[in-house]
Amino acid sequence: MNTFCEHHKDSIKFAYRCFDRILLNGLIQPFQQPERVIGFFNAYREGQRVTRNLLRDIAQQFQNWLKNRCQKWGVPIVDAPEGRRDDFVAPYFKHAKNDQVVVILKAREPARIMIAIGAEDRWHLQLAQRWIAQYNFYINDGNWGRMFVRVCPYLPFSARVCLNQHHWLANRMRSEGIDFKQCSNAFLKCSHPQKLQELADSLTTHDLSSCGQKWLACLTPFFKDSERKTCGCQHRLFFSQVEYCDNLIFHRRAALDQLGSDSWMLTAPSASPARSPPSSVASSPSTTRESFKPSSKTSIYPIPSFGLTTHTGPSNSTSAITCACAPSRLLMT
Amino acid sequence: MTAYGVKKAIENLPQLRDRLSAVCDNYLNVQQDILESFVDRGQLHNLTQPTVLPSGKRIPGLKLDHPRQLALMHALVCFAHIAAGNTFTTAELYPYVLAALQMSADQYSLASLRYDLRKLRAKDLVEKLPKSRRYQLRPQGYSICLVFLKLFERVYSPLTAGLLQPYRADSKLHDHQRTQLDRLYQKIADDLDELLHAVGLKAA
Repeated sequence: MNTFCEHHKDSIKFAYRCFDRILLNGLIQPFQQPERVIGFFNAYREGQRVTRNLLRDIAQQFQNWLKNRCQKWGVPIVDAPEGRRDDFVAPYFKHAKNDQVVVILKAREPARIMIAIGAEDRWHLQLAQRWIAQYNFYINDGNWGRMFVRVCPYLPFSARVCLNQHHWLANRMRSEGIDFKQCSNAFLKCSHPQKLQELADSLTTHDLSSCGQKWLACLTPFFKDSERKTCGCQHRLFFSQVEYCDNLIFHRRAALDQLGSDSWMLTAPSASPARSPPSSVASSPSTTRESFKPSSKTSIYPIPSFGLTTHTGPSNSTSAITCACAPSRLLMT
Repeated sequence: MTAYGVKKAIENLPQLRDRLSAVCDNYLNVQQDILESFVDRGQLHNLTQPTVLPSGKRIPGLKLDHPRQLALMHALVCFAHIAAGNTFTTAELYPYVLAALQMSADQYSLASLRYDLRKLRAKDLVEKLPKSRRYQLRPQGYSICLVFLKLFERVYSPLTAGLLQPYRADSKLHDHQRTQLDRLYQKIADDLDELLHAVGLKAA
């Protein structure tokens, strides 16, 4: 036990650690090399020549497929708002069923796509950064709860998957019959804190990959199932940004306020600009969190940015401190 | 992530969890160190700053070496134990302040005492009892007065004297010939010299 928890143990009702937001990049690794793309078309697409028009058609086919799917699902495609997307999509999640796409946000975002340079019979493929319309699928997954998957409609179909272990834990606790109260990204009450920590620690790579692969396979219609299995045309997932939080739930708010005035403001180092503190650094959705935002690419110090999140409530009610670190945010954006 | 020795593939989830958990532990240990140590958080500075009352009136802050203020604090600390409910009027306190200042009433008036007392009231060290002309020294006021008095009388003054105007003959005495107090004060002076040298402030 660290000295902070040891010292304040009489004031701490319970504590737990878990991941919070987990942002994954999805890459089809063979398709990162132009020669392998050509090889795929030679082997599986009857030797079609990969031209600029073909690449454009592939993207157009994705968009046509998407329109048809949306009609079938009854899901709207909406332009992404200027403000926070979490707040914008929240109403769509009301009454959402398990494994349902609730809304799709369309936004122009940068992506590395395959471009073809040349003319007539001579074409050269290379990857290039372009601003293109990408689709963010907001999903109520049966295991992971609220999540989103961003898919680029252009080859090589780079993707991003955003998960939150708090939602995952909420679903797990419901299935285990554990009573709890969730407040933004923390559990303020839990009838079985020890079991909560066991569940948090039980998260495995398979939990991440099974969810990611399930939705990425569903949302990249270009590949057949057989192609996914035989020629490695499925996304491999990598950590992009990760938040890991240490949540301390205090008995009394007064104890928390005194702690806050004495220490946190003096000591919270932050190499990332803004986002709230202690629990989660970076863009934690808690309204009371200190600000932490993704660091710039120029960050060179591998210093974790810490945030203090205080969840407000009535006086003398249970209050929480969450301490989170997200070193990856400093290095990988 | 690579700076923390963890690769980006999701297969490294267990190592990532262990590494981030260790980072959280380190952070909380540092937090506790800071909470436990006597770190200046600005309280002393606040005492020296002027107080602006809701009426807009500005009352000067406390000074660490102001003779009148220190005399008042001295009188308060001594007078507070009188069995009159630990309360006093300015008229009752006045003679004790004059004695501490070694001044006459012409040199230090009762109005001056009330002016000085107002500074302590502005910092919540002394409170006036409701519907009364009596005052009471608050518990934290007693502690602060003691700190100020001890710092000045036992630390600042003797050290300053020893540093700026030492008795030359003292330097010729062997340690065992000096009083314990002088040895202890000299030790502080010597340690200060060593500290200044270490931080690059060696006297020219």
